[in-house]
Amino acid sequence: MNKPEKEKSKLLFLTSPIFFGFVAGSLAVLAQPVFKIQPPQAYGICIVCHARDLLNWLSILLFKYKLDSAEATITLPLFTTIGIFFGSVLSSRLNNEYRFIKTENLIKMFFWGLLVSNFGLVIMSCPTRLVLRFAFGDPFALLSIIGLLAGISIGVIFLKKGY
Amino acid sequence: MRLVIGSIFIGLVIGFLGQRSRMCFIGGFRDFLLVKDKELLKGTISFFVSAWLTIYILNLIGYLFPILKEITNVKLGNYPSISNAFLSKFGAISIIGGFGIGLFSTLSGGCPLRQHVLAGQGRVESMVYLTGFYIGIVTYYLLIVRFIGKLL
Repeated sequence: MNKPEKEKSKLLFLTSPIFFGFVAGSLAVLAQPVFKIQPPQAYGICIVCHARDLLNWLSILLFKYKLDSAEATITLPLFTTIGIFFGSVLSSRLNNEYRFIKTENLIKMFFWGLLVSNFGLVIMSCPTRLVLRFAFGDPFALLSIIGLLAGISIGVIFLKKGY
Repeated sequence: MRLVIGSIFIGLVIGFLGQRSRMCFIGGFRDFLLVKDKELLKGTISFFVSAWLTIYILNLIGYLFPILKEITNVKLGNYPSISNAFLSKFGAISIIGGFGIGLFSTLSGGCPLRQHVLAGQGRVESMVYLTGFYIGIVTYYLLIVRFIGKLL
């Protein structure tokens, strides 16, 4: 390994998934006592639920129609999903990774999104919150993770067949 | 108000780091099965370990007390132990829900978090995915929740 690569490897830790897991895992738990994102518990990061709370807030604001929301967010919205989107925009612009890429499987992607959000709302979790719930010690999260791993295994068989 | 600012802060940090690390919670196990790549799996395990450690430390100091009953908003009389959870009705629904998320997320190429990050990076397919995602949430509460509600 020559010198410039060595200097790079120090910075590489900050962009590794392990560092992401450390920051996101601590933040997700600290969100409860620090930012009061509770009840329910284990609610610091959840893409499906926070998106639902945002839509519920918008729906009440615009149409006076209540969908459903967590207890903590009946009157206040959660902007986590919007934050993730703009955080990614900021990061990709700073590092010159922003590419406008078009592909052809758009109708398929629409339905995958529809199905994932519906299955996610049945158990009130996205994969991120499943891991967080498991860290809290929820036995149902363990069952969901077993189902998740089975689903991924079958999905991988489809991917190998070139679906 | 603290909740709103906190959620924006958490979102920005996760979005920024998620774009740098290409983190995906589905991708960990998928890459391990497909190409034996453990990089993303390490991220998932790191998330679990640091969340668990933070819970443990906060519990010791006295700022956080995990109450399992308050995690799901489904009304359960007695929260079952791990052996009873297998047999309960909500346990079966948990497995089916997890299975659906795993299968369709693998086919779409990433968990919802990863799709938000990819949409911010300029992928059109992820923006279409997110359109379906948000429309799915609305249709769930307008149509499907009535059928699911009878099951729970």
